[in-house]
Amino acid sequence: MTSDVDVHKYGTPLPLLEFDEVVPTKKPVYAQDQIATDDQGRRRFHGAFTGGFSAGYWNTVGSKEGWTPQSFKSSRSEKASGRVTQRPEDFMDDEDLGEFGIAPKGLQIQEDYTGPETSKEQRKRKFLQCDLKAIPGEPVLQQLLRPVKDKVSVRILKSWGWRPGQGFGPRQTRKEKKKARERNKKELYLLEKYGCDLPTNSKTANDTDDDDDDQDDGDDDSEEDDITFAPEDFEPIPYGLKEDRYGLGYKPLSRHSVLGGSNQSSSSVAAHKEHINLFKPLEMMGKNNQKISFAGQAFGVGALEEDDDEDVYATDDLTRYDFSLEDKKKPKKSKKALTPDELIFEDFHIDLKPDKPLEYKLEIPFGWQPRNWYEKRSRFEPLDPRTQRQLEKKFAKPQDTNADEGEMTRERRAELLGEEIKRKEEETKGNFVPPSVVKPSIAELQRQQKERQQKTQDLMEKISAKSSNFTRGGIITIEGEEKAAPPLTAEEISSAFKPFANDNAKQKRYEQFLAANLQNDHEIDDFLENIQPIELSLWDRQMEKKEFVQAKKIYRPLKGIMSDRFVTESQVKAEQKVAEIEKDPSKPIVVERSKMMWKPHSLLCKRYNIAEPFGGLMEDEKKKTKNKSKMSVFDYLETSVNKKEDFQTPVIIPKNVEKPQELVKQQTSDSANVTEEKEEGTVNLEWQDVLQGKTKATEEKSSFVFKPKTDLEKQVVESMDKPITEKKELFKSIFSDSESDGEEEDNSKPGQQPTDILNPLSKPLNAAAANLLRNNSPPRGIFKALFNVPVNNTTESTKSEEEKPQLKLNEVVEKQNDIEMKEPAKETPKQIETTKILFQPKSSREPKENSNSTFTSSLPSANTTELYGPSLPSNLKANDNTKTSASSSTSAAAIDAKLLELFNKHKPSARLTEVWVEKSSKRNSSDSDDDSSSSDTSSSSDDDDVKHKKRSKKSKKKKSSEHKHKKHKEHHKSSKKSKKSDKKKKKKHKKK
Amino acid sequence: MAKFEDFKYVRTIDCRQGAVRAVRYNVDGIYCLTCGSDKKIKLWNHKTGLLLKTYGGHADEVTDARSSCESSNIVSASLDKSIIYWDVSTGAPVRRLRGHAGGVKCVCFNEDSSIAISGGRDNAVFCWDIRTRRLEPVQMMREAKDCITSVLSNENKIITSSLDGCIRHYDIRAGELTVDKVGVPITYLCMTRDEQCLVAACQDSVVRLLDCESGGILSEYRGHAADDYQVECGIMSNDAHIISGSSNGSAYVWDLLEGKVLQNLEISE
Repeated sequence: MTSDVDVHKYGTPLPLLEFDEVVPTKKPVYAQDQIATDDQGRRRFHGAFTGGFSAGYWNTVGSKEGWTPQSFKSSRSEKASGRVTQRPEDFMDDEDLGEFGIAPKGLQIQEDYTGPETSKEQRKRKFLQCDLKAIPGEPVLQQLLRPVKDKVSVRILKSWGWRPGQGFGPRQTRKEKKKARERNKKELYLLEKYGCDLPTNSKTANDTDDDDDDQDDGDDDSEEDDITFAPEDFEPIPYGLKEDRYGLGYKPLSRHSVLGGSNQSSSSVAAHKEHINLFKPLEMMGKNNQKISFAGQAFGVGALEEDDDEDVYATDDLTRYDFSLEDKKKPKKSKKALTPDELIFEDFHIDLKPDKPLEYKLEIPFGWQPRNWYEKRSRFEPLDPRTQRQLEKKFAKPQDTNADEGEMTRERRAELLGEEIKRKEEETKGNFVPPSVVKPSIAELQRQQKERQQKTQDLMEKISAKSSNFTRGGIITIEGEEKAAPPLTAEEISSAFKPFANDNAKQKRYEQFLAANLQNDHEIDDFLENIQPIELSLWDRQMEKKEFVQAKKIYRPLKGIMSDRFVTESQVKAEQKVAEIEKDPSKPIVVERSKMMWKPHSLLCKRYNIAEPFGGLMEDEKKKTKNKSKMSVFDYLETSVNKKEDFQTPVIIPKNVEKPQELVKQQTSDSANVTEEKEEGTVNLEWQDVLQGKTKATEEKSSFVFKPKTDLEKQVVESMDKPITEKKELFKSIFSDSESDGEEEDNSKPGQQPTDILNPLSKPLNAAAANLLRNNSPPRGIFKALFNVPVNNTTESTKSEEEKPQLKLNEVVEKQNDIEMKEPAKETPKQIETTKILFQPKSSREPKENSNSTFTSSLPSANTTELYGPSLPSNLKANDNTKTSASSSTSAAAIDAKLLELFNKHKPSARLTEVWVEKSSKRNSSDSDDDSSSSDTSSSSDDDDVKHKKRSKKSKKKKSSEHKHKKHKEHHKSSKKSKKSDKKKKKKHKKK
Repeated sequence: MAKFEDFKYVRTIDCRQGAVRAVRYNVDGIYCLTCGSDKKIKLWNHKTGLLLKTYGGHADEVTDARSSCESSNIVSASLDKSIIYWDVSTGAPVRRLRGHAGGVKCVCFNEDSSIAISGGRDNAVFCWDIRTRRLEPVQMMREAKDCITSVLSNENKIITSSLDGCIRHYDIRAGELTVDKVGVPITYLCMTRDEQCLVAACQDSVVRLLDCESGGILSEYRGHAADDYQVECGIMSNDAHIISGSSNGSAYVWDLLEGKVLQNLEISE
């Protein structure tokens, strides 16, 4: 029976039950009642197998506070150091790192772990032969340099089952092992002891060993011998060369003094002087006068010797020594070793006549090349010849047996396509001569191109015509006839595609057949019969014939058609270049110069140290954009016309003045009076828009002399005048005392109204050109009343017409004056020559106003054609004629002087206006008078004409009122001036 | 008429910057700047081939760079749509100016280096005040219809060339813009010393000499190949010889008056 001691316990034993204890009834816990808990006993209800895959804090993130993201901070001064390293463990819970977690942190044995000796220090065997070397100990280099991998031999051993720490040799039983150990120990002992010392304690040591062994033996007795062990690893005994004649392992004391120097025994003087020299053989005189000398290290035992237990007086046991070379233990061992008989099973017996010893002869396969498979090898290295051959075989095409047919080179392709080998020539030439020189002439190329086109065209026709029998396989020539292929030359045949390349004989026959170029079926038969070998059957012959005929048709070197269809790349390129070069001379580049206004930013000017052009009064693009960005209801009203870009100031084509390069005009757009705006508010703005639009529309249609042709135009003209009349009506209705009273009131109080309303008309008129979007239909609803023209107002309107030209003129002139207005007005019109910008004194318009006011009515004269735009009223013309045509400068100057006075009266201050840039490049610098007048006339003539017609239609009434109206208008002008000046002030303020 | 002496090979400096987009001398010609496609600008002493400083901070290829008149700052243009104003000695970007909607192709200073003018692929020319810390351009000129290839400035003009075939003179003094339509995309523009003429490298493999006053073509220089490359051209300081790159890796030198090729410098393959 085995005792308890022998039993290995595994696990914790159940507590012993007392007999009297009542065994608790065990209720089985059902699966649904089981609770999964984690290490802390917290309940975890998922993760079936390992007792809970706990997720964070109660199945939420991280901790009670939640999951806090890692902060990342990096500033310009303090850069974050590298990348934040995050490991998966950062996101795991403690349980995950436990034994059963997803990332256990416990220690684990590596796969190839075999024992403690695998550690690097132990991997190399220690050698004992330290004393054989000059420097004792393990060589330093070997300590330093350790191979990464095991040696191949070690790997092989390992693969055989060897583990480090084991010895080599056949497996041993316990006894064998023990004996081997003993023996080894003895050897070691001998080595260590007798290498330098007398064996003193060998016996005792042996005895102790024996005791152990005896014990072991006692244990072993029970065991059987069939348990074998790996032999122990013994240190190999190093053997040194024997250089002296001492006994084995005996090492005498060195004769040399420890302290150095020469201490020779022969010198007696020295000997006397010396004390007892320990290192000399101690000489004593024996009883019989014998000289006894002791020498060697073994002399005496020092008090300081470590080995106190050593039996100093023990005699060396000679049994330790082998007296002969025969091995005593050998018979024992051989007995232990299994005899062959023992190894054989019952039914087997040893073959007593063994065959002749096996000759191991490896048959190395042909072409085998040794290779170290541990050596990595690039796949781009050349393959070893055998595999290469195999690969070649594998991928070689059956028809590739003919070497020259195997690879399709570019030249070959070119040959097949019937292409002249131009390329090469071009390549050779191209390096030295510019390509343009090499190219064929343009005419030639064109001719070729034409020919080719012609050919292909013809061919296409013929192909389509012959599509029914196209499969016959003949060659359709350019002539369209399917004629028999011309005989091939020998060279062609050889170069042609070889359809029977896999059968050389057949191919040869085929070539012969081709060379013979037989047309007749019978001839072919005869011919083939001659060349075909006899062993071919009749059927084969027939087949071959068919094949040959087919092949001949199919495989022909590409000539003719194909060469026509394909063009070499070089040719194409050459053509392109020719075309390019051709293009160039035909179109000599002419630089077109155009100029426009450009406003440099004030800061830019400052930085460039340049005064701003025009004192910084140029139109600013930014403002424009800013204005645009604001959305207002009126954006819809001013469609395309009111944008400044769309305005086109009238272009003057004067007769006597040469055309200037550029025309830059600065005009005001401030037609609306401030007061008016205040009174009428937004409605007034609308009005202006409408009026502008109408006038523009009409102006567009009129060429020079305005004649309203359509009803619409008339309506438009009427509608223009309505505001005034309407106002009057309004006032009448308010202050309805009498007609005259009403008119008086008109004159006195809202005196400037009519002109105010007309002001918009005096804007540059051809700006209206585009305003066709405006609704020109007759007014309806509320507006109908507004637009209704009372009959009695016609005269008034005529007057206003007459005055309008002046007003417009004023406007234009004013605009041109704007810049100059800042400075006090000068008598003579000022002109800047270089910049070609018009500056005209305000006075220039005054005389005309005055003079114009005196004229009652007029008709457009014939000489209006001189001027651009609608004609002036004749009276104005007359005035102009008298003034300008005779001596424009002098008379104008005189008038100017007068007007200046007038002007100065009314002019409180200069004013700022917006700048208008004319898009068209033409500009009139010299004739400011003409300019202004023409613009005047344009508007005035419109009105005039309309009014004339009206007048003719309607009876002329209210002459008095007309008169009054004139007065009123004059009055208004003065007031307007003042207003304008006000405005200027305001604008200035704004700008500032 | 200055006698022409053939250019001789002196030194090769391997910039190690990938494709070098531009090489510019500083004002006195002692140093040169190379703009590489590795997003860096390198400052060299070209006489010794010594690399003095590397300026890194662009996010894309650097297309152009200029040094200021006192050689203390550099302004560089890059395809990352920004221009950077550098401090030469510290190598730190002083200001990064963004505003272009496309890559910036060219940049220059005005005469006293108070304004940087840049032109880009967004067809716009921006003037930047670099004296102040303002990050918006002082002025934007958006007249061009195609990519701006080069900008120039003298004391009162800004001249730009564009791929739309126009040379635009923005005359600040007169407040007017003069457009010279050549009709062929212009890849580079430079001005003669006397500021009377412009040398324009055109896409059709012709370098043209244009008169500033009239805008007429004074002379044409042929022989090189521009192809689709942005080939630069230049004029010697004596205003007697014109030089231009060529797509075949060589440079051509012409006589300004006679228009004949004086030398063909084989620079690279």
